[in-house]
Amino acid sequence: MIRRVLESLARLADVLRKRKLDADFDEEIATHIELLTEENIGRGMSADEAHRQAMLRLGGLAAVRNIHRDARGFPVLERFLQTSWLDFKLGIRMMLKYPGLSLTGVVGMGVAIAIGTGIFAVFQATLFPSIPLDEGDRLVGIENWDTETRNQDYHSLHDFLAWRAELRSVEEIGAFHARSSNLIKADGTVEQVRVVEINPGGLRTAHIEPLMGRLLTDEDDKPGSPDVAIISHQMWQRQFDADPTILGMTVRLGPKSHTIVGVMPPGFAFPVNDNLWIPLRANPLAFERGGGPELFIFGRIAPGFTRDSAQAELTQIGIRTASDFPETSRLKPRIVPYSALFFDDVAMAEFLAAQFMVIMLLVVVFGNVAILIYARTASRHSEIAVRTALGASRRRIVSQLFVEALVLTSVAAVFGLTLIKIAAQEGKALFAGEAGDIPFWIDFSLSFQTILVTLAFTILAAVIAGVVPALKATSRNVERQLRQLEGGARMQLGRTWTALIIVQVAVVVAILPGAIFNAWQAYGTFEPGFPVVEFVGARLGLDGGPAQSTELLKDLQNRLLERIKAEPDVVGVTGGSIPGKEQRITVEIEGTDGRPRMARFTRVDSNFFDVFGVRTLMGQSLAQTVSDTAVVVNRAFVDDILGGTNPLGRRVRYVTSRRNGTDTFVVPLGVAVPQTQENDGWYEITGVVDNLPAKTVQSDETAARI
Amino acid sequence: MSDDRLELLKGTLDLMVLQTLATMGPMHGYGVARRIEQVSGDQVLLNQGTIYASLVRLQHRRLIKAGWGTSDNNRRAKYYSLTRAGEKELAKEAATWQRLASVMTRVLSASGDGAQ
Repeated sequence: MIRRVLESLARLADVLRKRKLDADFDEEIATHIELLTEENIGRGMSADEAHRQAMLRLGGLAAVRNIHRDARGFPVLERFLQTSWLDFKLGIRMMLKYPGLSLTGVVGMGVAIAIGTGIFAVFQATLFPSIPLDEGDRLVGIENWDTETRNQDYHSLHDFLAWRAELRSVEEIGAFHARSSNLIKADGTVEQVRVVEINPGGLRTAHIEPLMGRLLTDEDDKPGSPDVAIISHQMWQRQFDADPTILGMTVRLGPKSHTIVGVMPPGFAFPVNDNLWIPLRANPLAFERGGGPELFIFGRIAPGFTRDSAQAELTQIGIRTASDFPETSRLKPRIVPYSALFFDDVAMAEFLAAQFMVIMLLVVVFGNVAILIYARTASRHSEIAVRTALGASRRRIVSQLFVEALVLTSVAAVFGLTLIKIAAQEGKALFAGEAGDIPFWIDFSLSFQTILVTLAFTILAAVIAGVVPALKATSRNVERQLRQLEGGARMQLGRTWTALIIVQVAVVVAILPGAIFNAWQAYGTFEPGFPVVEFVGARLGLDGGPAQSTELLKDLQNRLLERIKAEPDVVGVTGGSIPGKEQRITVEIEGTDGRPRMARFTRVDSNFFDVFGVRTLMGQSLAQTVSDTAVVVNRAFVDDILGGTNPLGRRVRYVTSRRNGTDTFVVPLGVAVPQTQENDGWYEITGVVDNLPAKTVQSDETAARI
Repeated sequence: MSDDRLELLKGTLDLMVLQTLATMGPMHGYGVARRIEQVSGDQVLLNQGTIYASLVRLQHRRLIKAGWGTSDNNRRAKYYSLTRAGEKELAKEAATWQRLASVMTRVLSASGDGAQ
């Protein structure tokens, strides 16, 4: 084995010194011929005859040179490369000779490759990222999977404490809760920021030391300890002008003052993309099991354990918990990749579906370019026929046409990669705009895998656009073509047909990827159905955590609405859930079989429907509703859930939190909906409104999404 | 040239080259080729050009090494000589061939005793 490797290396060295070795050998063989000639002259031959005989005994000069060259290098590979190089040059010539075809092919295939590779890169970056932290691959998420709703359940404060105490296979278990807060600086300026409430151990999980000051300590986590905060390098630079005296400075986060005790180094944005960290201080005694803040829980797989062994241990703990608290038996704790904490499982199905769609798109585009190339190949039938007659094998001709197509697809791939590079910056901004700052581990730069995928698409394109036409073009009877040549017949498509093909292909190639790209962008968005330009919106929330009184919120909202109403340019003002972001719940209808039905649930202000111009179809409008337990449903709810029967007076209540639903019922804003009410959580339907948006032409299901 | 000269078996030329260099010391390609022809009593049909493929192979295997020198006719010539590895390989291969040759001789000279 080693001997073969050494020999191969020696051959490789000889390939690299080809010119020098050729020159050396020429000199060596010249001496040989001279000595042999002299020997022949000594035997009595004439000089010419002696030289001729010498050449004969040597086996011919060219042959000897070839034998020597073959013995030195890798003859098969070298000949292949030499042939491929010729084909490559021919491919470039062909590209320049048919500029229309080349331009259409390069643009179409380039855009298609860019879309294909781009979608792969985005999904890869989000679904299979590498976490850029010390031993980032050991970082995992721990979550409860609700087997009924088939979703994550984030209200796991009690489980978090149990897992942290019991799990041996996962160490440094941390948890955080993120919320918006008003950052009020000493000069009175206010800015909304995302605050991460994290347990001190959780922040240490990242294994990053602060640039200045300290990390959170276990002491900070205790109730009654001074309120402290740690800020990112970015926040220190932007919000505090890199003030060197930042440590010890006090800032207000909503109603509370916090002392800044640390600044993290540049680039640190753990756990997602964060700039401000304060202690979590979640007291399990203050919440029932299943209550408390929504927590993201994570940890590191301990040395000597794997994700599987950690899952096995976690499952055992889950079984014990289910036994102790049967009402939680629907929750199955599981270990997931760290990034999967923030992306649900549907994303994987979307990934596969998107990849399939992309490959279909590529096949269509490449197939159309193949038609163009076939048209070009058809006009070269005479050349192919003559080459075949001269001894070129079908494989050789197909390989030549493949390399020609590969030249075209390679240029398209370079064009595509350039598009991706440009789109990466745009995409980053788009992503940031839609979902807040992108997680710190997502890297949109071109990875090795992305380049490999591009390469695969490039070869696929060359196979479809080059090999398929080549097989077709070489399958004809060569003799017949030669006879046609003798008769002067040549295959020509004619200007009209060529132009038609080019236009058809150009349209498909140029429009299809763009159309799919637009469809992709439109995916997940919908037409709101009301004149968007006439509306402005703002999100209203109370700073200070989720435990604040809803009465206070209601009072604040009313005062705010009054002030806005007083503005001369304001026609109407109302409040409610963000359209499309309603809470999904499962409802039970009184007097039915008790089968739970899924619906969307929205809290809105009493004039909500008036402001949006939605008609009241039956019963009372929301403005007329006085009872705290009255609800208004929309037409889709009546049709789909109540089967079109008279809804007025029927009672509904919600069973458990759900994520999916198609219909809507609404309650006045600010009304709490605890199940412990005297009426067992029943709501009476007092009115029916038209579907929102009122002017939509889409289905009731979509209309019901408000 | 007579037509009944022997064609070399595959792999034998390299051994002949090694043996020639071991016996004669450093030689150029022409010298090696002529020596093999002479020793074989012109029984071997040798295309002299093939000697160079053999020399390259042996160099790649580090059994021989090459260096430039001056030939008898005062021309620059490449001289080949055995390396230590070449000496060992020659000893090993020569022993193998001698055993094979002796077995072949015995087999071919065996009488028809026991034959059906």
